[in-house]
Amino acid sequence: MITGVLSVKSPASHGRALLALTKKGWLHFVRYPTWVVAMLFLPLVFTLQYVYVAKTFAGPQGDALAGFAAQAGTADYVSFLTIGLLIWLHLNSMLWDIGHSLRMEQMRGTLEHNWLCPVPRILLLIGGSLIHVVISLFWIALVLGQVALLFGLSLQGNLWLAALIMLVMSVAVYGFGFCFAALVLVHKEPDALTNLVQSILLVLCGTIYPISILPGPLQSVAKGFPLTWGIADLRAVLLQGRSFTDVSGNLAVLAIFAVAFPCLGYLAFRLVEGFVRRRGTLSHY
Amino acid sequence: MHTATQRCLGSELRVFGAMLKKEVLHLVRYPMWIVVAVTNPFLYLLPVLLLGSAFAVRGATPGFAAYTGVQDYVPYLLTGSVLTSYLGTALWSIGQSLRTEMLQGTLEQNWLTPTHRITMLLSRTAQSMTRTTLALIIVWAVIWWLFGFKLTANYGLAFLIILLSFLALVGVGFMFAAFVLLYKEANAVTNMLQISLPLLIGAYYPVAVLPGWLQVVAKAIPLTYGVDALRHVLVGSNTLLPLQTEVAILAAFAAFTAVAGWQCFKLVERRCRRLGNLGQY
Repeated sequence: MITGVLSVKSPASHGRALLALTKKGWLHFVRYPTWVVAMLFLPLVFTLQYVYVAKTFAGPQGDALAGFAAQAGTADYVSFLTIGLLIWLHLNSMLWDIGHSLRMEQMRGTLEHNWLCPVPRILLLIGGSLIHVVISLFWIALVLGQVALLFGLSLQGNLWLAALIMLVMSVAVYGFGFCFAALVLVHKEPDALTNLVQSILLVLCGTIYPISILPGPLQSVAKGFPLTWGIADLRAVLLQGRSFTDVSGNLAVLAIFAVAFPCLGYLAFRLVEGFVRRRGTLSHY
Repeated sequence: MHTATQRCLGSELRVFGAMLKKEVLHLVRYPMWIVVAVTNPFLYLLPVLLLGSAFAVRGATPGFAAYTGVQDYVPYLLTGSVLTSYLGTALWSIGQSLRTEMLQGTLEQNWLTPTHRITMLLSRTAQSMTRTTLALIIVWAVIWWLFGFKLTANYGLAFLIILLSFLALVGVGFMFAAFVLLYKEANAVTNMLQISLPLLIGAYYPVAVLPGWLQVVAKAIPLTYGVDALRHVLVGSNTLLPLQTEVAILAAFAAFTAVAGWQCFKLVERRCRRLGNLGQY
């Protein structure tokens, strides 16, 4: 009697599917070596661009640093900007990869075939982007090293606490990514939407400046994004050496996002998926 | 009487029109791209402008003035956004549209038509360049409304500098199209150039801010003088070289890239046709 046929679903089969998807993502990534080279330099170049703008505003003798310190709580604009930009880039990568992996399968005509496999859809979404999350964490470490070499970073505080904040924030953003994937199924063309969302997050979430300089109503909107809380917490821990107790309030808010966003995202994705399957437009592009 | 396969200026213009219509239809089919074209330059510029206010001391930016010779940073940054927007469009619109056709499997069919390759390439960029120009006009108007600024402009000279930069960038776009034919997956390189070049040419800051070795690189890129000259003409900032010299360098670069870009594309295209891998991805 055959017991372990391919179509029997089990945690082990899901694990194998996740592994296979991750391997496929890795093979695809290294198949185009220009991406590997780009990943080594792009985040640094992107960060430097803003650092040099800030250096111009600071002035040759640091004439305007007092103004920045009064707003941001630190005169170390290099570390302030680097933390915000790297987290923004990391979360962008997550958002981009979830939607984009679906879109690429629509374009290549493989989406419907994968959808027929006895694998939970959510696993297909996570598997399509997991390798990029790992790569993204690697280049965060790389850029921190590169910026430290070029300018000298003064990071302090509890790194484990920083890692915990990153983890909670990433879960929340993954949930946001599920909503995004739902939009891709209906709207088809995700690149434009990704661009728009990325830019809005850059403006609102205090990536390169404290959100206190935004007008009041925009500050309220900014607080609706986990990225705002995560960046503020990471700066508090890494630049000002704040403890768990100091940031526990903000961390609790992030934890609420981390529970609510994935639930809402999954629900939205299932609803939309049912809708496009009924209409037979899953693989349309 | 012209048959469908006879090439003449009229037939090239008809193809140009048809391709432009196709590009517009494609754009309208994905309306979110129209929203992005208008909002993106604004949303990318806004954080930099807000960063400026984070450094303000009693409403003034003394550090910025010391570096640039300009008190108001808003038009200074806006001017940088003009060339970076066209740069992004030149890189994405020509090469990337070839890539899209490779993926969709329509590149070889289009290549079989008796249309001049220049028409093929220019028609792809015409829609994008027009869209970028309209977006820039809207962005300048919105920023003027939000922040208010004054230009000390010689508009005729500013137009000439923008035109020369535009021609230079189209040439760069041709080279990039050749790169796409050769290496297929060019997104990474496009991103790299789109982000690195504004950093190197000092699109949003004076080259003097860069470390010494990067200043040498910046001064070796002719587009640096395009941004520098445009900023001087529009906002009166300090220049690296006398204005006439900067415009002459830009003009020479535009002539060089237009010719070299086209030759480069022809060379690569011939190679791909010999190898039979034009439509491969």
